[in-house]
Amino acid sequence: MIGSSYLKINDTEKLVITPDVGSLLYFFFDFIKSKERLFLLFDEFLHYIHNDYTFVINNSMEGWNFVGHIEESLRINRIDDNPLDWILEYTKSKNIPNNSIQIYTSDLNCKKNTEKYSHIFTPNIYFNGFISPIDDYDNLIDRVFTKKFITLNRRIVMRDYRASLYIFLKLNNILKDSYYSFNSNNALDHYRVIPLESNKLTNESDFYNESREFYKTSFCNIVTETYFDNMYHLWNYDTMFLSEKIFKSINNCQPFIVFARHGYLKKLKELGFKTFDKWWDESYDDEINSRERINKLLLLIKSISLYSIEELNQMYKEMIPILHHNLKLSTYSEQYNGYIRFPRTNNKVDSNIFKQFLNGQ
Amino acid sequence: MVDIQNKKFLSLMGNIQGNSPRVVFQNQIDSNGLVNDFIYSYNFNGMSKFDKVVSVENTFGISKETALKSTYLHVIIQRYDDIDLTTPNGEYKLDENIIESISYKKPFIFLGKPGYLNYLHTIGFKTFSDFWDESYNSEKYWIDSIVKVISILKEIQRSDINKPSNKLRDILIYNNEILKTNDR
Repeated sequence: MIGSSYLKINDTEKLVITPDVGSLLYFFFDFIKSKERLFLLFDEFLHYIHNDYTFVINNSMEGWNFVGHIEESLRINRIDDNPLDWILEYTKSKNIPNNSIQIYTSDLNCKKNTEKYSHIFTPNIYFNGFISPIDDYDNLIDRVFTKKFITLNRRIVMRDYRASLYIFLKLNNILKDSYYSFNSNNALDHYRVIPLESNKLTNESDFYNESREFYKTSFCNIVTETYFDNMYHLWNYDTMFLSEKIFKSINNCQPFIVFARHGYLKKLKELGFKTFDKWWDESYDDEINSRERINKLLLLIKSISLYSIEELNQMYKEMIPILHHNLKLSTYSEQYNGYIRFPRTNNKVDSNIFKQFLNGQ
Repeated sequence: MVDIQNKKFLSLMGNIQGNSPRVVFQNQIDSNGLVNDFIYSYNFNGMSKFDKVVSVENTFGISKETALKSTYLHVIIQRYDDIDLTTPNGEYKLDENIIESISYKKPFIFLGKPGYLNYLHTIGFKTFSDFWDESYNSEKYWIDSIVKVISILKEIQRSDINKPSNKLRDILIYNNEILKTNDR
C-alpha cells in the first residue's frame, strides 16, 4: 500500500525512487490502473531521466518472482495485460535507455527469473537497513544466555516448515529452551496463536518491536525464511529472498540456522557473510529435496539443544569474530559482491501524479 | 526391494501438495525416528520441478493390498476442513480410508476433522481409546493433534505388536461386521 506522494532522490547515484509499492500487481492495476496513467507518472519524471537519472519503482519489500506472478494472474484471468510490457513500450517510445526505469526487488534471483525483462529488474539487499546494530556489540563476550534458541514465526499459513518446527520443538521438549512465536499474525483460525512471550506481535506494524533482550539472552536464531520451496505459488518460484528475518539474527549478533531454499547459505557466503559450519553441520543447505532438508534442520536443532547453556556460552565466545564480521558487513557495506545495498537518499520530491492517484483521481 | 518385515505403520496419503497436515506429518515421522517403521505413499502435484509420485509398489516393492494387510496400524490423514467428509446436507459420511482399514481389520488413527471419531461411535463403530489416547481427535488445532499422534506412534514403536490383545482383535472383527451391515 502506497502511503506517500514523495519520491526519494539519490543525487550521487542519480536515482528517483518511489515509495515501496508493496505488491506490484496492486501497484499497476489498483493504484496506477492503466498504461496511460503509468505513462503520465513517467512523464512527470522524464526530465530526470533525460539528466541520466534512473526512475526506480521500489518493490524491495517483496522478493517475488514477478514474471511468475503475472503468468499466474494472466492464466486465471485476473489481469489481461502485462505491465512490464508497458515499461518497455515507454522507454522505446521516448527513445531513452531501456534500463532507465528499474524495478528494485529483494529477489536476488530476479535476473534469472525475469527472462526478457531482466534488464529492468535490480536485486538489492534491503532489510539490513531496518534493524539497527545491537547496542552490546562491543561486549558480546559478556552475554549470558537463558535460552538456547529464538524463533519468530508470525505467519504459519502456506509455511508448513514452521508448523513442522513448532511440533518438533514441542515433541522434543525444546520449547522450554526457546523464545518463540507461532502464528502471532493470525490469518486462519485453525492454527493456534502463540505470541512471543510478553510481547503481542499481532499485527503487521509490530514486526520490529520485539525487545532486543530476547536476542541478547538467547544463543542461536532459528530463522524461518519467507520461502522454503516452490510448493504453493508461481509468484515465489525459484526466488532467493533475504527478508528481515536473517538480518534480525545478523544485526543482533546471533549465529543462525535457516529454514529457507537450498543454497541460501551459499548465497549469504557469496554476499560476503560467514556462517557456522565450523561448529555444526550446514549440509542442510545443499539438500534440494524439501523433506530431506527439513529433516536435517530438525535433527541439527535437536543436536544443538543437547548442549548445556554453559557449553553454548563457550561456543558463542568462539563465534564472536564471525558475528562482528557479519554485523559490520550488514551495517556498513554498500556492495555485496555485485549486489547493491538499497540506496541511501539525500532529497525528496513531491509527485503531483502520485498525489492525484492517492486522492482517488 | 525394501524389507517390510518390521514395518508397523501404513499411511497412504494421496496428494500432499498444499495439504499441510500431510506434509508436516511426513516431516515428523522423519525427524522423530519413525520413518523406518512406515510404509507410505504420496504424490506431489505442485509446481515444483521435484514433483513426484511415491507409490507403495515402486518404493516398497509390494502391492497396496499387501501393505494394507501386513502393517499393524493405519494412519489416515485428511484436511481438518475436509468437505469430502460431509454430505451436501452437512452430515458426516464415512471416510473411504477408514472403510479400507476396517475391511482389512486394522486399527487406525484418524488425523482430520475434530470429533470425527465420535461420529463413528454414533453409527456403531468402536475405536481404540482402550489402547491409546484418542483425545488427539478432540484438539481444535491440527498441529496439536499431530503432537499427540506422534507421541502415540513412538509409544507403539517401542511395544511388541506381534501380540495384539484379544480385546483389540474383538474390536476389529466387530467393526468389520458393522461395516458389512452399514448401508452408508
